[in-house]
Order: sequence, then C-alpha cells, then structure tokens
Amino acid sequence: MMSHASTFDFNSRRRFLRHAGLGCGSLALTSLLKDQGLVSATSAAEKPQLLETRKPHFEPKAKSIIWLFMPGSPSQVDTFDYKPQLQQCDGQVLEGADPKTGFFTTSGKALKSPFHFSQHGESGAWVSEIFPNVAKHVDDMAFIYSCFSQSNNHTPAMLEMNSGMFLQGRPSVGSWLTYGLGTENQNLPGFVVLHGHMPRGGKPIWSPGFLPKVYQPTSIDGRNATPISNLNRYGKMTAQQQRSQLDILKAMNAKHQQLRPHEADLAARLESFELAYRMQTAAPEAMDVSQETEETQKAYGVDQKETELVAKQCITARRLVERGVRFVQLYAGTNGGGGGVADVPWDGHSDIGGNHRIAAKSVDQPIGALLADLKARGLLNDTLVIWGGEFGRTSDSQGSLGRDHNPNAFTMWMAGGGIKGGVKYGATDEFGYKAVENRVGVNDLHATILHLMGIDHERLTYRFNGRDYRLTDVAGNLISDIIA
Amino acid sequence: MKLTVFSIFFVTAVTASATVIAADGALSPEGVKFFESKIRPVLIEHCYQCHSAASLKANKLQGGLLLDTREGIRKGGESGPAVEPGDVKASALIAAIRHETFEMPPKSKLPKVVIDDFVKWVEMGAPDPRDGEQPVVEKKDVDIEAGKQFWSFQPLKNVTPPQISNTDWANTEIDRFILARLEQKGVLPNGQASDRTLVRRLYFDLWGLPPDSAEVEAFVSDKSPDRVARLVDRLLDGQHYGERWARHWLDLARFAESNGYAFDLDRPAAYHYRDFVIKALNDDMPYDQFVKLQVAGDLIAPLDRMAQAATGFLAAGTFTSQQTQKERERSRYEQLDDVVATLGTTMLGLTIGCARCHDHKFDPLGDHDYYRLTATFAETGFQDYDWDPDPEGTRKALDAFNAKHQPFLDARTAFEKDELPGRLADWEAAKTEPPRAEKLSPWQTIGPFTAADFKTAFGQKFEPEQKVDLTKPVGELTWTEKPEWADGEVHNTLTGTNAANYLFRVIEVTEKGPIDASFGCDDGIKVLLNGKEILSKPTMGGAAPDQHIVKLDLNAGRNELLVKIVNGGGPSGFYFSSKGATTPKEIQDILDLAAEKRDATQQQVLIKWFAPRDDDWLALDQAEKEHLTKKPVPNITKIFAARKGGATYNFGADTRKVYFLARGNSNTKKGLATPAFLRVLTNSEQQEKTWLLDDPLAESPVAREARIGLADWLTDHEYGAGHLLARVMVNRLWQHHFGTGIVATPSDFGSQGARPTHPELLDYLANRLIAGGWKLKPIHRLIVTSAVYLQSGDSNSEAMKVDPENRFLWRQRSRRMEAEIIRDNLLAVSGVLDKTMFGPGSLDEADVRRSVYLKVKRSTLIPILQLFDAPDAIQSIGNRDVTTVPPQALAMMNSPLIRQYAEKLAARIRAEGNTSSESIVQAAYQLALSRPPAASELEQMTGFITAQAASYGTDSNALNLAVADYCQLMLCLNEFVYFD
Repeated sequence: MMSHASTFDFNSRRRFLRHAGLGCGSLALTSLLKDQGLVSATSAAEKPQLLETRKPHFEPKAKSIIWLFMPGSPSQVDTFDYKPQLQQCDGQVLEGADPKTGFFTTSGKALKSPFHFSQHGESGAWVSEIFPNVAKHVDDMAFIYSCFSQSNNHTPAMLEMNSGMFLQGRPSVGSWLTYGLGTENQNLPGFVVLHGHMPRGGKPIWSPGFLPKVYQPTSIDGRNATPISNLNRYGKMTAQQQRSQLDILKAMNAKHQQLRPHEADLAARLESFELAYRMQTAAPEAMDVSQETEETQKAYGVDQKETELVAKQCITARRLVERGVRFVQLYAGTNGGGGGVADVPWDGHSDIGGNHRIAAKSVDQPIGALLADLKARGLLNDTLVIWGGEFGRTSDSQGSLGRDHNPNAFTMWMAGGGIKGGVKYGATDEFGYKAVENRVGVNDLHATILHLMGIDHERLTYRFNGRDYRLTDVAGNLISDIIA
Repeated sequence: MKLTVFSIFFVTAVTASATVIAADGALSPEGVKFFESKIRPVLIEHCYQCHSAASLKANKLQGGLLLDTREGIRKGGESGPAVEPGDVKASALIAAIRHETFEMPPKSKLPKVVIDDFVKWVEMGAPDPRDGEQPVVEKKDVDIEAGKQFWSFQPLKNVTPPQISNTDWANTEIDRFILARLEQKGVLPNGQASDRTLVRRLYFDLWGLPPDSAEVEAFVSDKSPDRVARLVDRLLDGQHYGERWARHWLDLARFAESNGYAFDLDRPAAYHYRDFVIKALNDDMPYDQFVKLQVAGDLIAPLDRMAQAATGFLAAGTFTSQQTQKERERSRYEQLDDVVATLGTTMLGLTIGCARCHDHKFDPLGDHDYYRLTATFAETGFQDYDWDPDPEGTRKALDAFNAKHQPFLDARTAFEKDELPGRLADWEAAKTEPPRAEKLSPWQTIGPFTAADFKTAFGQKFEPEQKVDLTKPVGELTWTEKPEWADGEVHNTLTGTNAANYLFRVIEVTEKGPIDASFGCDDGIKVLLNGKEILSKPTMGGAAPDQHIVKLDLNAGRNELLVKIVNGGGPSGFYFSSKGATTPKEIQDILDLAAEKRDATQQQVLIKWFAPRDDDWLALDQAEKEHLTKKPVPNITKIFAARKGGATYNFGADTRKVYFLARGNSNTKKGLATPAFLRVLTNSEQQEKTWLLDDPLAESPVAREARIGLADWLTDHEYGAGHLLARVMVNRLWQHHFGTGIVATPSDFGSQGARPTHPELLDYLANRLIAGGWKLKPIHRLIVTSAVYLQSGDSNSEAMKVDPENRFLWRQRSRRMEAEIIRDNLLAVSGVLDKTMFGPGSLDEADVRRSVYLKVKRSTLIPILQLFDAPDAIQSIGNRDVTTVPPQALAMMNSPLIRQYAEKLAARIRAEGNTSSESIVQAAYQLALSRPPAASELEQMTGFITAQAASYGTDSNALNLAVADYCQLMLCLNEFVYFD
C-alpha cells in the first residue's frame, strides 16, 4: 500500500500520533508498522499503540539492556587495555603524540598506569587492580579495545555515545529502541535512566530528540526519596477517594468519547488515567530495593557507604529489567577528584590514579554483583550489559599524574544477551594511544546493539523535517565477531 | 631507553633515491619494481573496492576518487589530488592512510611498514606504469530546469473557485474548493456547529484562551447573521491573538533563551524576539516584511528596535560555550547549518540541510546551492546588541556635554603645562621628601564600648565595626574629631575597662597602590581597611611605635581605615604613622638625572607622577572628575540579535568565510563560496544580479549586503522564492485551523513531502495573501468564516466509508490543546491569569502569566509544558506531536500544581456565592466548559461531592476538600483539554 520511502509519511506524523495514542489505535498504524516489519500481519485486528510491544525485524538475542555509563570517561590504559610498553616508558617522550588531543594540553610524555594488572578467567583478559569484582566475569564479556569517538569534549561526546551525533536534537539509543520495540510492561516506563549527580550535558544527552515525547526516558535520581514525579497522591487523598474521582471521570470521558467515535486519542486519554492509577503501585514496587534479601543487598554493597548508591541502582536496574523494562541506562561513579567533578566523576585530568581508585571503588562491587545476580537468575542470557564512558584518555600525561580526554581510543565491554564471552576485539597501538585495529565507531556500536535487540539499524527510520533519520545516520557496521 | 616509534605517527622521511626516475620523467625499472611489489598489491586489496573503474560501474565509487590508473590517482577525487609526486604533504592519499583526514581504509589501518612504503613511493616521484585511461567520473549536477517542474516550485496558478451545486452550504470562495472535491467524492459536509461549540473553537483557535461566561452567553443569544464575523473581528483585533499565534512561529524558530549544551548560559536579552513576533502578528505586519526583518532586520533598518529583535530568528540556535580548539571550525559550520536548515524548513518548506554533504537526494538542491546560500551568513554572528532608541539625541547630548567638559580638561592641561614644571623644580631644589600623594583626614573616634571581659570586647562587633556613620550616635556615644592626634606619636588618652574604642579616618589617593603603616596599641588591636580586616592582635601591654607594621593596599579614590583598640584594664592608647608610597624606580631614575638631561617623555612621566602631589592640581582634577559624572548615559536596551561581524566561534582567518566542503567536512575545503540563492527558485539571472549587486550595470558593481539580497530573493514572488514562501505560510495558517495542512508536511514541500489535498485552494490562498499586501489577518478571517471551518464534528457513516481520515474535510476535528493552551486554560479557569504582556519571562511553571512568556531555558524546560509535547527548542518544529501517556494523567491526578488550580477554581466558585452542590457544579461547568451541565451530569457530580465529603468524615475541611476534588475532576475531563 505504501512505498518504503513514504512509510512514515502517513499523511503527516501528527495524524499517525493522533490515531496511535495509547490504549487504542487504528489500522493505519498497524499497516505502517507492518511496512517496517515491526508488527506481524495477525496483529492488524488488534489495537496498536505507541508503546505497545512490537515485533523486531528478526529474532533478538537480547530482550533488554543495562548500559553502565561512566561519565567523564575512564582511562583505557588504567582499566582493561593493558600496555606493558607504556609501563616501561614512563616519563619518556611519546613521539608523535599530539598535545592538543584532549581538552587541555598534554605533556607528550608517557605516563604509566599507577595500577597493577593481572590476567583473569580462561580468556586471560587483563584487568587492573581497581576492578577485582568485575574481573571475575571476563569470560562472559567481549572487550572492544578499539573504540573511538568524534568529539574530545564531554557533552558532545556523551551526545554522540547516546545518539550517534555530537549535536543536540537527535534521539538517544534508548528512545530509538522504545520506538522500535515498544514497552513490555505497560505499568512501567520502557526506558529508564538512573543517575546520581546529573551528568554533564543534563537531560538533553538522553533526549528523545525529534521522536515523540512518549519515547523519552523516565530519569530517576537515585538520591531522591520519590523517584518518579507525581506518583504519590496529593495531600490526604486516599486510594479509595481517588478511585471515586477516577470512576466518575471515566464515565464522563466515555460519554464524551461516544459522541466522537472517530477521535481515537480521546479513548487513549481515558485509558491513560487507568494506567496511571496502576503505575502508582507498580512503579514504587519495582524500585523498592528493600524487598531484596539482606544477602543480596550485601552482595551489591548496599551496606557500604562507598558503594551504597550504585549498589541500589544496580539492584533497581535488575528489578526493572525483570519486570520488562527494555532499556536502563545507569550513570555511575563517585567523583574521584584529581580533576574529576561531580558531573564528570571519572575525569582524572590531574591525578588519574587517585581519581580512578575512588570512582572504580564505587562501581566495581555493584557491577560484579549485578553480573553474578543476572546470571544466577538466568537473566544474563536475555540482558545485554554494556560498560564504558564517552571517550578514552591520553597515554601521555596531563600535568604529572593526570590524563586528558582522548577520542582516538577507548575500551568498552559488553556481556550477556547475545555476546560471545571471552572475546577481545580490536586493538590500540602499543601505548594505547590510538585504536589501530578493527576500529569501532559509535555508529558501529549502535548497529550492533540494535542487532542484538533484533533490529536492523538500516531499517529503523523516522522521518523528521523531510528526512528519514537513522540512529546510525549513514554509517554503522555490525561487529559480528563479538556476537554469539 | 629509546622509545620505539609509534606505528601510528609520522615516520622519519626516507630520502628518495635519485635514480628511480629519469630526468625526462620516464619510469626507471627500480621505480616500476617498487610500485609493482609494494604499492599496487595494497591498492588492489584495500582500495579498489570503492575507488576503481569497477566500483564506478557497480555504483560503489566513493568520493569521486579512482585509484586504479595513474591519471586517476594524480587527479584525485572530491578532495583534490590523491598523490602529488615528490610531495608527501600535498598527497591526500598519505594523509588518509595515516588517518589524519579521512581514515582509510575505513575498517582497519594499514600496517606501519606499508604506510612507510607509500611515503617512500611518493617521495620517489610516485612512479606509476598504469597508463589506462581514467573513466570520466561525472559529477552530475542537479538538473535545475527539470526540478522546476515539481509542483511547489511552479509559479502560483491563477485559479478561479470552482462551480458547485450546493451553493447554500458555502460561505466563502474557500468553501467552493472544498465542496467541489467533496461533491466529486459524493460526500456531504457537515452543517454549522452549535454556537457554544463555535465560540470555544474560535477563542481557543485565535486566542488560546477560554471565553468567559458572559461572552459565551452573549454570543449564544445573538441571533444576527453576522455574529460570527463580528466575533472573529474582535478576536483578531485582540492582543491575545498575537500571543496565541506567536507560539506557532516560535516552534519553527526553535526559539530559546539559553545557549543549550553543557553550561546552557542564559540569553537574558533574547525575549525581545518573542515580543517582536507577538507585536508583528498583532500589528498584522505584512508577512514578506516579517520575513525580511528576521533575515536582515539589522541591515535593513539599523536603528529600528523591532528590526533588531527580529533577527533573533537567526540567533536562536544552540551555541556551545565550552569547546576545544579543534571543535571550533566544525561548530561554526554546524551553527550556519542550523541557520540555513531552520530558514529552509520554516520559510520555504525545504530541507536545504540535506544538501550539505551531497546533492539533495530527492529535491533539486545541490551542495553548490547549499554552500552559496550558507555564504550569505558568512559574516553573521550573534550577540547582545545595545539598542539606543535615540542615537541622534544621544550624540547631540554627548556633543553638548563634551563642549561643556572641555574647559575642565583645558584648565588641568594648562596647569600641567604652565604651572607644574616650576613647582616640580622648586621641590627638587628644596630637596625635601617627596610630597605625599595620600590625603589623610583627621581621626574620628567613638567609645568606649564595654563588654563582660576583654575577650568579648575584642570579639564582639559593635556597631561602628559593622558600619561607620559619623553622623549617627551609638547609644550615648558619638563620633568626635581628634585633629590633635598627630601621626608618629603615642596617644594614651583612651578610656574604659574590658572596652573597645574605634578610630576612623579616610585616606584619599589618586592611584591605586600600597603604603606602609605602623601601629602601636594598648592593649589589643584590630585594623579594617575598606571593611576588610587586615590586622587582628588580641595582645596585652602598653602602646609603642612600630609594634605592628602592615601594608595598606589603597584603592584609587576614597579608602576607609577603621582601628579598634581594646583595653583590658588600666590606661589605653595607640600609635599610628604612615609612609608615602615609595618612589617607583622609574621615577627615581628620572629624578636622579639632572633636569636638563631629561627628554620630553621623561619630563612628562615625572609631571604625571608629581601632579597628584600638588593640591592645586588635585582641585582641578577633582573638578573635572565631578563634571564627568554628568556625562549623559544613553538609554540602552540589550537585544540578542544577529549582527554583521557579531560574535561566533573564532578559529582565525577563516572565521568569517564559508568554503565549499567535501562531504560536509570542514577538513576538506574545496574553495571559497560566494553568496547566492537557490537556483530552483530563481527565475531570472538578471534579477539575481540585482539581489546581489548594488548597481549591476556599473562597470565594477559593488556587492550588496548578502542578507539583504537574501531577504529580497525570499520575498520576490515573481522571480525569487516568494511564491513558495506564500504557499508555505498559508498552509501553516490552514494547518493550525484544521489540525492538518493542505500539505500535510508543513515543513517539507519537497518531493518527499506530502502533496496538497487541494492544490488549487493552496494557490488561491497564496495569491490572496500576496494580493492583500501579505497581510495574514485577512487570510485568517477568510478561513474561519468559511463553512468548512464552522462545520460540526458530527460523524457520518457514509462519509466515514469514503474518507475515514477526513482528508477532504467533511467534518471538523476535535483537537487536543497544545501544552501552553492547556496551561493558559488552567490559569484562566482557576481565575489567576495575569494578562501582562511582554518583557522577561519566568522559569517557574507556577507563574501566572500566559505560557508564551515562560522562559525557554534549554536545559531546564518547563515540566508541565514538556509533559504535553512542547518542543525542546533545538530544531524547527512545524508540526507538534500529540501524545497521550500516563505521566500526563499522573500530573493531572497528583501534581501539587494542578491541585492548586483545582483549589483556586473551588475557591473562586465559592467566592461567587455558590454554596449548594448544585450551584457549585453549575458554576464549574460554565467556567471550565462554557456550558451548563446536563441533568444527568448535574446529578452525578453533586452525588460525587456529597459522597466525597462524607468520605472525609469528621474533617472540618471535608466539604472544601470534596469541592476541590470535584474541581480537579473537571480539569481532568477530556472536554477540558480538547475542543471541537
């Protein structure tokens, strides 16, 4: 009925949205999604909606994602990309190093890692001493040592890592996924961001861009007592009193809608109040870490001051994923000082060792426990866990002990859902300064992530201001070597 | 240890062997061997896939670059020659394989030894035996003439409204177009909606506010045939019209009042643009002028406030205040792209931005067009502009002041010339200490302030220590002047036990700098200079000279010295002396020279130093400075606007230039771009010259301001883009009156956009706009008095079968109010709306002015507006999403903000004397929905209030809570946020 090119030109997006409001729908939306291969023909008779679960392009390897984002950017050569050459050449001139690689000016002299490295697991992956718990899981991980980004500045690079573009205004990967796949659990948001101190760049770094706002994440500051706004009834109102209010509202809205049978989103709005009513119970339950056993809480590190926040957030992430939340992005790391600041805690410009010890301490046990817990519950097979920052750090020093930003090399690892464990992909040069082998850009990461979720990155498009946009723009190569 | 050379970095140049290439350019066997063994295999394996004749055939050629012949490799592709024999630096291929510009091959870098081979090969003169002819890579230019055939680029057609059979239904010419299509389809349109529906529809559409009850009832009881026309006139004349419709335009203009990105700095002077749009719409400024001012107002009318403010359209995009040197040039091109893309989608409905990296894939726009259009903004930057309402007056006032001020300057200069040299000589002859430049007033003192013990007296800040006011007594105590307290002597005349005395004096000095001061004290001492503590010694003992030496860092002008002497018991007193500033070395050096040996400059320097040490000079100087305070201050308003030469990212010589870029990459420039406009929207080369040049027929014509040329081209409906400009705008008006435009993609009139459902009507309206002097209000009037607009939303099963999507408009649609209107409606209905117009806005969602005045801060968007799909002000939005999600319901049910409106509404209703449940329900329906409740509604709602009140039990506030619960329920009704 429609050509592919005009798939989303169904007499304007507005019409599509008007018809596709939550809880109801029209044949129109179904057919349009069918064109994208996102819904099966049999569901044509059903009532599609913006957030309804939609079929992927092909059988997915993962059902949900937990992305552990380390804002400020950990150093590859002090975490997972072990470089013996760098250790030997401390203080010597790194020929060809560009002192203008980062945000400031670097010395051009090699700085060895202050940390001890050792090999772990059957795969023998090198891990620095600051990640003793994460190190236990290397055989479940695929390391990508050859990542690079386009920007050497935090906010643009975070935008790039999330949306594929270093400018504001493009949808983040979580929004794309929710757009492509809908939400499993209608009582919970499909896309959740967990954070402590607001990372540099603020909410725009995980914005839905030009996608409908329905695809924006619910962002939750783990330090707040009430995680989602407007979830608690106002004042003294009881559940029963609110129910009475909603009962009559439902009756009135239904009557209003009956007189306007062709206005689909009137029905959607009617239903949205019922959904909201249920969310008041479902969402706090999903976030309630205290429902976990003491043993579990301890394993994550809830009982220790240094790890408490991230431990709770990691548990929350697991509980959300268990309940069908599609995409959880956790911004984590205690500000380690040494150049780091609260909104870019891993930013060790002046003292990489001091910074990373503190920042890593805050995440190592929680992440280790999360991986173990997901595995024990059989969730790891379906859950893709991603770890990384927005870029890497220089192999030469900034000042005497710090490292500046380095867009030319960094390490990310993935584990679980569809990932081949124990894989080492790509490489940097012998000093970890620049990715040289099997270089992986952010578009490649995104293409791979979408693929694991059952989506062909070239087929997931959205038309905005006359152009069909993709998460991967005009690029993106699947990293098939890391896929199980 | 020597560090091994990085594989990824430069290798030391290998000296080329002189023997590989003969003087006549013939290939030496060694050269050929090197090529065949080291170069060709690599090219085949890693490059030919995308850069060869075969790849060209397979349509896989990248960058227009062929590497499979000598000719191809030397000539290069879009980025210039790939190989320049002997010149490694000029060889783009080397930079690319080193990953310095492009990163080639894209997947994985070549090993270092291979890169070294290529470098060596280029240095050898790039011997290359491949004689094959390079196939012609045609850079297919966009076919402009063919492109012009597309409907939206065609001139406007002169259309006559079609004949129709059902003439009773039609009110206006518009209706004849609509009805003709419906009659073709065999669909009957609806009749006119009820008056109650209409009055709400017109109010929300034209004002974005609910009608008040009296207005509703007056309209409903008015039976005259022109009641709609009169209401429409009144609404279009009202100030709220501009506020309502400005918001639609501000969406397109991605208007915001902050930079965006990490630090999101505020633009406190950006709101002038929002005010401009409101005023322009209310004044019915012709749309062509509205556009011109936004593109070039600063150049067209440099003194006009509205014209400055209008350029906020160009300036409204994001700006990254924090960035690295390497990002600047790229950021500038992004900034310009934002301007051009926004202008394109907003004004012309064209996705010009798509032609940045390559020719537009679907529309007749080349990258050539893109960069030349972008070049019209090459010199444009964005910053706060000081707008002076009366620059002429300011100039005159300044002239007058300067004339009066000159005598003061003259007197001082004359004194310096005629009098001072003699006085300097006299002083030098007398060989005394240099005269002091500091003027110290006599001491003033107040005290004693007694406390319980010494420690308390020392620590406690008595009133003089907080603020010195010599005229003000403190309790019984008053300030007394002590001219007898000479410097350089101990004065043991203070009194009190466990008590503080304060001493105060003023030190005046013309130049900033330190002087040494010496204090003695009995017992403790604190010294404050200009309110800042510089000494604190709670010591005990008698006063003597030089117990504490401190530097007094004096500011130019008046300095305040406060000394606190605290006595434990027995006698009490102090010592003070000060030394003038040490003569600076450069002055001393001149003084050491005999007067006749000093040159003119030295003499001048000396006089300058000496002058403040002369009381007569000081008096003249004082008089001049005093008069200077009368200098007129112009009445400046700061306006965030576009300026020629205004602020932007600075990256050196190319900052205000625009180059053609290969694939949009600022590292691959292809030559300077000069301003021009889209060829597909230009019908006359002659005319294009008059846009670009002041006098095209002159021998050496002078270029006009490029943006003025752009403004003229945009609005020229005969030769330029004006016909498309008009089409796009009338479509936007239509879209906001009907929910969907005649072209359903209002910002895309290109080939990927929707086609008009009623093309003749679109041209008819565009012609009417232009013929009516580009005024928008007549078009609004024409639309909203048409039968198609006034019809009801009733369903019709026959029509549903033929046109279920209502593309041909056989009914009106119910529309969800936009975020701002939902909020404004809440404010109006709850009775708290403040109708103050213009000026800086608030960031507080609980503010009570209309939402268009809320501040748009990109990192801190207004939550309730965000919830209901307000844009995030990053990109141009022509068509807002309308989403319905549970968080909206949660806010309506639970947010303190909404609850507050419910309570205000409840209070308002009860204040109007409604006490019974019935009257409360009736009043609420009237206020919130502009209608009385139906009997069944009245019964249900009163029942709800009674039951809800009962549920609060013995709470004394039970009824109030129940009424508020009821009012909140009214605000949650679909009927409250949708209008028919």
